[in-house]
Amino acid sequence: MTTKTIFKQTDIDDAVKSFVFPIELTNEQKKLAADQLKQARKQLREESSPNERLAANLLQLKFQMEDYLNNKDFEENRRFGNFLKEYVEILNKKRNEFAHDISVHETLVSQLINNRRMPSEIIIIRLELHSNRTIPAEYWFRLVEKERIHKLRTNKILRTTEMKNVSNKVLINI
Amino acid sequence: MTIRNVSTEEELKIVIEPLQEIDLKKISITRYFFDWKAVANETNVYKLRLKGNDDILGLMALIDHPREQRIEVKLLAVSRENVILLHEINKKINVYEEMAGNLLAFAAKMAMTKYGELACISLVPKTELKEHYMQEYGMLDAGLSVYLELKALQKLITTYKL
Repeated sequence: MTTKTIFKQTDIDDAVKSFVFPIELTNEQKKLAADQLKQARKQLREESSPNERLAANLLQLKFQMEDYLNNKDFEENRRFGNFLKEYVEILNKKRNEFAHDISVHETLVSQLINNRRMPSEIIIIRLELHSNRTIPAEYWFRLVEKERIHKLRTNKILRTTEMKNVSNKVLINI
Repeated sequence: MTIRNVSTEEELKIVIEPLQEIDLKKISITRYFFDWKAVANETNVYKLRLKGNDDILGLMALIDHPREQRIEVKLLAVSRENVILLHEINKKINVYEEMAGNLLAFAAKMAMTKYGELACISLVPKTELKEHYMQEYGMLDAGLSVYLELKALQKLITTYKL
């Protein structure tokens, strides 16, 4: 069935709910389409408010967190602190300003951002409230959990040292 | 992400994911209208299916334009049983609804994840359908194309609960 045939046989309302048809443009039309789109986007961006742009960047961060959390692999540069750093940068805040916002000392914010300290549940809840629930506490919590699971999975030293505290091991291999 | 079963009004969870090489064997022009094998050579094709079911209910071909922070929707089609042709009106109802909206919202979310405040999705519509895409999905007019950016892009993502 050609596009023309499908289109002729479909009700317009149903067509937009079922298809984006392939459109062949001439080189001239392609250039015109590109110029028109560029111009329309430029104008829209000029008319956009800082809050619209902030919302878009916060959503980007949220979706990147979702993608990472839904992926099984741990990534060293996508830990809690890395996402927190990104969050503070999107807000265009200095660390001391952000520390003030969530009522903690600036040193703690730096330690969190540099992954030298894990956040408490209180901090995680404050982050959720600070983002006006755009980024749920659960996401921050799962970042911490993901790192803990990774450390637990890969900790050979602890397994070796704890061996002496385990006796009567189950003798089956599954 | 959910679609609605028209008969039972049940909301059913869906998955949208990249089309695999092995899927191409299942895709016929009779059921999916276009030559998706040829399309898959030039674009990134995504499939929509119900969670826990391998049957493909919709397909969408995308082209990423990183320099423009834009994802272009080249082609989209839902499966034949979900399209009512004119001679079938009053004889048939769709099985599921909201598949095209979910696929477009998926493209919007992908653009937002990659490009943040600069993200954009666009498509070149058939002239007769342009106004209808604008009404149905909140798309904005750019002459030969329609597009979504910033607030309009976010709205589509929110509408389809992605």
